[in-house]
Amino acid sequence: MPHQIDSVFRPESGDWHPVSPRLATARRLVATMWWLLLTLGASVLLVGFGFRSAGLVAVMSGTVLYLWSWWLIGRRVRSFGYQERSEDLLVTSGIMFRRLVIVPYGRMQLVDVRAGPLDRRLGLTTVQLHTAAATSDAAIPGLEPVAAAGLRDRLAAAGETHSAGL
Amino acid sequence: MSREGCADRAEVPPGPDGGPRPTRTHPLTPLVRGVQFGPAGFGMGLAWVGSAASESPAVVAVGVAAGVMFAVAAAAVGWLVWSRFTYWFDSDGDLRVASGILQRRERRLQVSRLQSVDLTQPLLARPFGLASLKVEVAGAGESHVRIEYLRLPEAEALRSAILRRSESADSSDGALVPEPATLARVDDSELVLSLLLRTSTAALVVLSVVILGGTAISSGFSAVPLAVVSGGVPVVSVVLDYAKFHGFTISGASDVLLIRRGLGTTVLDTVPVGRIHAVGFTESWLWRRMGWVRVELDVAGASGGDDRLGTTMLLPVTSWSVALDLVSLVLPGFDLSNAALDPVPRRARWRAPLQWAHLGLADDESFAIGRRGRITRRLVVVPHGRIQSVRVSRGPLQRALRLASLHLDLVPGPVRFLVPHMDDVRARTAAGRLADRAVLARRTESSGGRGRPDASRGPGDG
Repeated sequence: MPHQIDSVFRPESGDWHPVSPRLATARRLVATMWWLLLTLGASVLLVGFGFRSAGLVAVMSGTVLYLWSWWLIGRRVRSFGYQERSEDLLVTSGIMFRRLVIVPYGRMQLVDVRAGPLDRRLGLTTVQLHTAAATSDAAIPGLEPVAAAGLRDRLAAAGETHSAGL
Repeated sequence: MSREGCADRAEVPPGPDGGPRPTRTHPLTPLVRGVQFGPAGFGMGLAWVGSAASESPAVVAVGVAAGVMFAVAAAAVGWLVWSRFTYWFDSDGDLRVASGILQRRERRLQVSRLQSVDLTQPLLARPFGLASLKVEVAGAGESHVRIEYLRLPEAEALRSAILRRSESADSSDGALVPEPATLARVDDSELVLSLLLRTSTAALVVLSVVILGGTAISSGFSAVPLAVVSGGVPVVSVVLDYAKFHGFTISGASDVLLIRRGLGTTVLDTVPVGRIHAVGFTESWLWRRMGWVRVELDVAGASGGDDRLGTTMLLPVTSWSVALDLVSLVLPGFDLSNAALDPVPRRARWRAPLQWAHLGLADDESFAIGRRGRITRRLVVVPHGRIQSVRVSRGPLQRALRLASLHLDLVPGPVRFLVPHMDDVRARTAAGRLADRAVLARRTESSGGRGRPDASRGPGDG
């Protein structure tokens, strides 16, 4: 892909802080589970009731979809990035629909740190910033727990020094 | 809470220094209240008599006597409730209401915290020419009181007296000042016409006419029910909005705007100017010929499902000059004539063939201004200090055309700031610049520049 186009979604200086590649593992595990459950389950049902060719098409299209999502997940995870600056936090993500969010530290109302059961097993944590606006979607998934805790503490401290209310 | 001091006083003190004395409601009140139970009681009595007909006459007589005694007792209680209910204005100008037969209760409704005064005429009160008044003040829990029933002219007089007192109390913490100046008023005929000329209303009415006309030729009157629905929906919404915005009047001092509106029930909304986060001007397609515009606000803490939290409508319809005058009061320093909107590149027409020529962004030291929409045109103004976060987004088609959309995230409300399909590099530069300005504006504000410390504190502040 032409990389100069994506300069729009680059920080003005320095590089994006990437998220852990284990996030791809986690998401691929979930995708595999769905693939096994839906595609295979549905096909077995179809073959069992005698729609053999339909079952074959279902399995094949399901597998193609699964392989595509496998590849897409890798790219999507690599597309995540964040950068802490002196006054604000930058978060970017997405391939087809790319976005960049700039959240000034003074506008942060709370910082969410969360990890699901699979995330915990793989050592992953999501840090999400909330402002008074419901639309400012600044979530950073796939952080190492230590990095997440550090980020949370730095954000909380920055929020305190810059805070100015609504 | 201090706004409704409850006291177990046996006697209601008269207004001091010859002030207004406690007043009772209309003497027919217990009757009107009782009438609604009449049919049920009568029916129950009849049913009992029917089932007891086979019993000896003595049993029936005792039953009827018990029923009559019960009715008399109920009437006596009703009369007592009425006779012990009084209201008056105290020396502070606040409304007091005393009630209760054994347990006396006296409530003080601070009119400076007035939320609304609703005047209603229930069906049963109408033949007597009586009305009920519901007074609501800001606050959680049981923050309203019902004064019923009064003669209609009396109720109207009391309502305007309460509204008058609340206006004079509101502008400066209780001190009596002359009536705040009326800033803008929505003309009734203009309101009706503007509601009819809304794009959706006009389109639905035209659609109904087309349906009727088209099917009348081919199949007679079979489409009448459909046309009634497609034509009736806009009529209902026009009527509802007319009742909501009838007599829309804005008055107020520098830090609070008072909006009085409503047909039948008069609603008094207060808009704290310091909590306004964005102003949106909306021009419907058919309004442009008339030079009309609607002005809406994002107000911190005003949106969240509950209509009582606050209003976001600044003016349902007005001319551009009135709108701009009022907004320059609300956002000091705002001047649209100085704003030079930066248009989007010509190639954006492939992505947005209709609206591309109307898209644009402008920002100076204080405000970001965005314009979008072709059929319904929208212009949104956000003071930099109110920006919560800045977002740039780009979809696949935008990427092929080297375009990107710029969003400013704001507190929840009807106004959204969005400039779609800008040149992507310019969108990115603007995002960085606006984020810097958001930080800078906030800093100058909190160091005493344009800050309004008390009014700008929100409920969600950490």
